[in-house]
Amino acid sequence: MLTKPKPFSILKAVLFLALASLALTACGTAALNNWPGLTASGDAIYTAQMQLKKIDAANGRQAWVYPDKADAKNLYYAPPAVTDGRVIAASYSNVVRMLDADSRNEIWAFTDVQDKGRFIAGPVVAGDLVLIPSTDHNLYALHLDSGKLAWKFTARNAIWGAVAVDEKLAYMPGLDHYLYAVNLTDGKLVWELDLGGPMLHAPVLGPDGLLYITSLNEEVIAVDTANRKVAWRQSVEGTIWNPPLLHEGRLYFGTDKASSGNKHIGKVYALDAKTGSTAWSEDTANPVIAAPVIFGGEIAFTTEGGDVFTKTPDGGNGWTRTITGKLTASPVVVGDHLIVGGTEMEHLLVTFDTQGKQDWTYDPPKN
Amino acid sequence: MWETLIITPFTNALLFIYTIFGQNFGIAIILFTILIRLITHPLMVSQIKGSTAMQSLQSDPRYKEIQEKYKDNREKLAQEQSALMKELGVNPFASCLPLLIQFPLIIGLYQSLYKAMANTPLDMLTLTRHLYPFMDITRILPINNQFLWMDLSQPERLYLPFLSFGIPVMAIIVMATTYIQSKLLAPPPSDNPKDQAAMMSNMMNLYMPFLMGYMGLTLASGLSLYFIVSNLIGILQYALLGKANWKNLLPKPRQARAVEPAQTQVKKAVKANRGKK
Repeated sequence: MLTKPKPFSILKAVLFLALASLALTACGTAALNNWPGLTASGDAIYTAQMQLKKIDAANGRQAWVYPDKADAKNLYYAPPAVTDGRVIAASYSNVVRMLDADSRNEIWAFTDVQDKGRFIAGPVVAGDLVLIPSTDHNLYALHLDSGKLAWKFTARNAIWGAVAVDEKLAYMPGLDHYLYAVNLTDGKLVWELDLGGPMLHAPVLGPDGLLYITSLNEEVIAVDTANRKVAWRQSVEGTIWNPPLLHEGRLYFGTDKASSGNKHIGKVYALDAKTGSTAWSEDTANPVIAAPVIFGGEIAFTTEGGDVFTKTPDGGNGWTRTITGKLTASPVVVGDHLIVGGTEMEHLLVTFDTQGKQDWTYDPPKN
Repeated sequence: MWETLIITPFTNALLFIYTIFGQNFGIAIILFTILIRLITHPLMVSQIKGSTAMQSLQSDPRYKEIQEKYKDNREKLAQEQSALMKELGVNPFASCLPLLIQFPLIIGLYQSLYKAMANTPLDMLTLTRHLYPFMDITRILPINNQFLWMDLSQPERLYLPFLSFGIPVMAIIVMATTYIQSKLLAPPPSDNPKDQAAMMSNMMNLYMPFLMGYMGLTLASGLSLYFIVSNLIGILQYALLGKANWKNLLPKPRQARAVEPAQTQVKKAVKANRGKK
């Protein structure tokens, strides 16, 4: 005789399976998260935080969003590149897309092997090429107009930082401790240098050919690109999570350093770009994760504790404001607006004028 | 609390193993999973003892007699069952308590795997803050995620030159090992057709491999590797303790309709239930 299982026993089984899947998938899929990538171009801001959004810098109104709904298979966090009314954005599914900046229509899309890697770094436009490194170890050079592959260069390991370029070479930092100089014409390696630490961020190229780069082993390194050797290296207190800002012969950046217990604080630095010597430095109450930016003739820093503050180039204090959120995204400037963003924000974007007065905020429109 | 007691020590241990055993994340996952399973082995032994005692209790003639006698009086049934358990020295929590203790460790292992495979700068920032002072991030990075043909931070597919699509080999192995493990660990078929525990266990055996296979298909292959190693060690542990029912893997001889396999019974019953609705 057959026995019917009681609905309660089926319910228990289904409930267990649902809980098990929830526990496991929740632990697993939540990991693909990052702070937003911000890009300013003309009178618009582009923000990449799961979706790509174009926002009017004058009033904070959203012009468009891509894709329409957040899609785990089509996530955007890398700051997009904008050139001649076209937006180039790279996803965590190893796909690069060019969109029309007005209509957001797709112009082209490129993928080598989908899902094999991720584009953490933002794309860089160099002449008629789009250069973009991937965690699949490759630096891809795509034709700007067609999105077709011009060449690719394979590094030893994953690449997380964007490239810097001069007329002939692309300089690419590697997690594998190597700085690669790659020929822009054919993608061949010209030279490489072991800098002794993993590099997560784009290098900054100075007008005198010195290339400034930060590494996770708490160092700022200047590489003489003409002589292919380290010009100077300077140890700092704490980890640097973004490229330095080069402005009038000085490098500005902030760090994240462990304090007592589990607490983390920060420190902001100004180094002489020629020698690496410290011009000034100052402790901050919260870690500085984002790169600083020039705003109203001063240097604007943001912290993980929600502080926005400015310093004069010689280290004098400007204004300070504090908002709710972890300001981990590197801020951008459009006209007289400083736009800040990050994670766990009360408003996704917040803007300030040069006097530190808060202006518009951006939150996604409610449907 | 959870982070300090479970995730942070697990993540550091995993990365420590990674740094001293050839800097291969695949090998680190295998060794770390073995280590955790060894540490939790005593819990598993006591869980097995507890469930064996429960099984012997359920096959005791007095237990069956009580069930039949008090089938319409749940309160009295519970009282009598409890008295019998006391008499035979069976602790009803002996089988589930060790499982409850193991569960957070397994979830912690899974979460620490994900944390160690930092996929974004934000993940990396979080990871560096969880490392103990003696762990040097510059020695750990870049993490070598390459193991056999896989990138352990990505869902796995094996691409063959003559196929236009990738084969999810790891997901298939996860499904197969989960199925084999659940079959080997299944208790002997109950002779009580109303045994709800047996019916539930059969449903689990049926659906769990698909659930795990789906996870293997969509999550990073490092986690698939963990699932597979964990399943294989589980099978080995049960085999060494003499508790693996290898006969369950063999096809069953055809039986008379009256004693249809429990799974078929459950399927039919579920269909009948749906039909009613």
